[in-house]
Amino acid sequence: MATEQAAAPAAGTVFRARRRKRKTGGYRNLTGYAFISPFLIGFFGLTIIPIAMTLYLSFTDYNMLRPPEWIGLENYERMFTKDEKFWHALRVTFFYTFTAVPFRLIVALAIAMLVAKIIRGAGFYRTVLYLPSIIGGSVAVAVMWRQLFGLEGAINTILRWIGLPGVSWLGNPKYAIWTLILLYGWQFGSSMLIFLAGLKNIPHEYYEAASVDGAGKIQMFFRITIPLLTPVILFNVVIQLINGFLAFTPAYVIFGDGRPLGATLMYVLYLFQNAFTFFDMGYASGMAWVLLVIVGVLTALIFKSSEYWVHYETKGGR
Amino acid sequence: MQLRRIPYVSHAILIAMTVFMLYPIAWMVASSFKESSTVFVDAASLIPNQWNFDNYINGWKGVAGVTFTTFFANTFLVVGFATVGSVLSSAVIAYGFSRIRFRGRNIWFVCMMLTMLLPYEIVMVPQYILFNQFGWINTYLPLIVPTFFGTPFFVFLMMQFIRSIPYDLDEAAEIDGCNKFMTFVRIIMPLILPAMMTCVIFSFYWRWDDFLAPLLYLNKVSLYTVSLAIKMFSDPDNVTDWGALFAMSTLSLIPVIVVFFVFQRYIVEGIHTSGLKG
Amino acid sequence: MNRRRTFTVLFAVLLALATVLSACGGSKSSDGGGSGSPSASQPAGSASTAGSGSGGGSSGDEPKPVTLKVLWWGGQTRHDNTLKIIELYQQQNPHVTIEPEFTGFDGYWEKLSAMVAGNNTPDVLQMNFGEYLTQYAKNDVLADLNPFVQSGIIDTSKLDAGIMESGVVDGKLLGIPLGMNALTVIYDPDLIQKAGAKEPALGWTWDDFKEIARTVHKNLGIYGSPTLEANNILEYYARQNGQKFFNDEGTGVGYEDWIFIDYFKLQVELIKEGVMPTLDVMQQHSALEDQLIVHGKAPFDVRWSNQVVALSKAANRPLKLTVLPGPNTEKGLFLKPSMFFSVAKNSKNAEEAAKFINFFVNSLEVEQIQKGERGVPINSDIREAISQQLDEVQKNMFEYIDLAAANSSPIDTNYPPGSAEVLSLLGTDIEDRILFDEMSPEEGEKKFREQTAEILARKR
Repeated sequence: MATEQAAAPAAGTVFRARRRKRKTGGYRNLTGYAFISPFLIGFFGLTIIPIAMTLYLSFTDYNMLRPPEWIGLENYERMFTKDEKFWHALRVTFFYTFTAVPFRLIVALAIAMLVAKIIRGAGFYRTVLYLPSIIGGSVAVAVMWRQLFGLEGAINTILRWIGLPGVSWLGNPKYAIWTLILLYGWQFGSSMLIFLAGLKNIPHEYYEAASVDGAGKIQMFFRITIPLLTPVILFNVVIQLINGFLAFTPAYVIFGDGRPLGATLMYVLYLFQNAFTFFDMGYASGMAWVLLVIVGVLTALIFKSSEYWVHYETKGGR
Repeated sequence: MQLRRIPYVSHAILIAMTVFMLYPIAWMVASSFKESSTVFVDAASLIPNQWNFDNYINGWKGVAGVTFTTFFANTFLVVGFATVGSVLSSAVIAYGFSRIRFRGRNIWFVCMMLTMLLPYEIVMVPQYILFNQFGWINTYLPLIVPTFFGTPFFVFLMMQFIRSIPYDLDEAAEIDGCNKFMTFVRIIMPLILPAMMTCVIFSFYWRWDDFLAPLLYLNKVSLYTVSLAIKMFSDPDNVTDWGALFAMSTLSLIPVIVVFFVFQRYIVEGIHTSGLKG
Repeated sequence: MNRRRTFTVLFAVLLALATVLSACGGSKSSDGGGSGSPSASQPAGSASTAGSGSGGGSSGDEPKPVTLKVLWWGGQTRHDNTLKIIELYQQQNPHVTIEPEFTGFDGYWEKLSAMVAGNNTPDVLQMNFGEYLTQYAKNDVLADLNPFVQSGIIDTSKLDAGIMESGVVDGKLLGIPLGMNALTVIYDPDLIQKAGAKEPALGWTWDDFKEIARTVHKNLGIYGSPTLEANNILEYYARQNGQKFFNDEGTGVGYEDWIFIDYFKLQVELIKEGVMPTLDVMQQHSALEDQLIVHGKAPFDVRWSNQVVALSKAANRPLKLTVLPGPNTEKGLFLKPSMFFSVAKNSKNAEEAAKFINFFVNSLEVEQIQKGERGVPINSDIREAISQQLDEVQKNMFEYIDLAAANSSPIDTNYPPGSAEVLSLLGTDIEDRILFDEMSPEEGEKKFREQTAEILARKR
């Protein structure tokens, strides 16, 4: 690496003049915008209008059946001062996200590392481990999960085998959310896949060189694997955080309405109820934007922090 | 690279995980062979008392004379186009964001990330109104066209991969006379193949499972996708055909599994060289 | 250099394409039920196949070709049935082309509200009683069908007058019921006999109910009854005591506090005795086919009559139906419309839509196809004729409806805006808390009363 760093400027000196001319700000701007033009077209043509509309709707009383009526900050006022369900849903979702996401990511990374080393049957294992994530939040999953966690279901049977008492997973407010957390963790395949791709991206040469230098496995893990995985870790953390906060379908299909006693009332579930069951799309839009701000701030914080712990291979290109 | 002997512990863990991963799915598959009304009565037993293929036959008949052949074909069509569109466009956009320092880059990146933060359930009604104005209702356009403008998730993923490619390669290419686009196509794209394949897998199964968008935009049954068709088996007013529902859900898994199995290979093989040895 | 140009050209083309796409299809008319104005991107199937002029025109002149969009929810069976019915109608009325649209129950309301928001309301739509009807009515989405009744296009002579009332909001007839349901106690006669308890019959009371439940629990060791869903049964309880669930003004609950308290005390008592299961047990069994009675763990189930079909099938043994316990069963019981067909207010073919609905509820051939799938027919002649052709379980259901009809009073139609939220509060919050013993019935009563008033005030 070091030798190559020295070589490049030397080779480039001859052409420095020509290169600089090509790299003017104008050229960069043009090509930059050209490359992201699909995004811009989509953004301005298709995305921004609906998004702006939802912001507007949050200041209205809108039930979709007739044009919206402006009510200013009333929705937000009610949300923050009079709606205890709002705060409850927020608490549930925070708990869920900050429990399920680390759970999923740690399992995903651990298993990815296991699978990365396996040559024979790797495809099989990868497929099997990935299978749960592709089932998503369908009706079939919901039924199956309820069966699994039923009073006489498989989970309780296993618990009793090992001497622990069975638990009312679906009926007890203290435990219900854990069925959702476990479901989220069970579907770790997608995160695992990304970690796998990241792991495979680390050149073998690094490990070989390190072991020649006498490094042990743990050292290699912390000195090579983790740092080079950080871009992917950042990705997974941000994406899973967003996923966690926006989680809706499993709670909806498995429990339906936040039961028992609101233990599974995820934020977006409550939002959905307001929009479509309670005929209050305006309020729901307000909830959506509050969520956007919360998750946006958290994401921004993570990105800011990434300057300190994420290691990119590039130099200059950033 | 020398083949390392995999400790039995790893294998044991993996096998245990396999069972854990598969059991619920096995339950669903087993239930698809049971007679509809006994699914819940018989819930504890994994192996059905009698193997009942009727669920598959009846389920496949679909609805209103439109069989699952059509539904599967439709879904392949939509998902196929959407996947190609989103992965390719996202790669292009990712390159722009990660390799070119242009003015306003950060602002647009933030805008893009923000679009991920609104739940689809909220955006869908205004979006429906918009697409209605375009006259796109009852076509596949609302499901396919937006994918050609990039998917933030994929863009972000590929950006992270592009950023782990040393800039030296780009410089070398430029010295050789490539412009940005050629650098992208010749150098970067092959190197982020694992990321792209990952995106293909994701895109496929997200679109495959997508329910709300097809629900809103497709009116004619002959256009329906598999996810819509499966929901029609569930009928709270009357008798839900659980057997058919599980049977079709099981079948619905197969294309996604196949796609996964085929493409996951590239995630491994994609990296032969890190490019450093130029 | 060459490549760069191609590259820029490519993007310019994409941009142009996007603009073109957005511009095309602008021919879609932005009002009305989409009758006869196919947009550029719609498949050709929507063009009317009328062609063959008159088909026995109504007042002597040729009927113009008409396209109707009909939307409904249901399962496989209903879709197949309804399409056959549509086929039949089109044969008899060649100038009409019907564009059917249907979904499962899941997602129906989201789709419909998006359609209304986008000004794309179908001509004929399936509608539900309760807040749905109220909201759609309040927001002027549905057409008043009274003029069609008066002009005879919709023949109501054989239609049960009581159930027709359920489609009236503010004096306007906004929906024609497609079938009737009633609350029923479904019970397993064998279990009750085995326990040595008295079989429930018309005239029984809540005391009888408790006795049977206790006897079964004592002698057979199973539960005596599941808990009673407040969303369904609290209203019945209020009515049998001469009161209503919502008050007439639509500002709050319409019953005195002791009704609520008694209703829940009954259950709390039985739960403490072990006769009724605790809530976490009830939570396990949410699917219809998974109820306690199916597993033989309780002799009773209280549901809507149409749900007995699925229940019987799952239980795989004969179950019987009876009225809910008295006293004053007839004041409490009511016939509820299973669903309506309504017409969009801004439909361009309201008259034709009304004719279609008339056909739907008044033709024997329709019911011969449906066989009660949408509920017991509201036309008395048809009801009688059809019940001959049904299987055992359905015959029971029909017979029960006759029994219920003879022992009921009109449904309360005052479901104010906000009632969905109120019912959600009751069913998933208050009821659960009381049955979980986290709140006494008295506290629950107060809380529910207050919060209901607050919700209804906000939504008005």
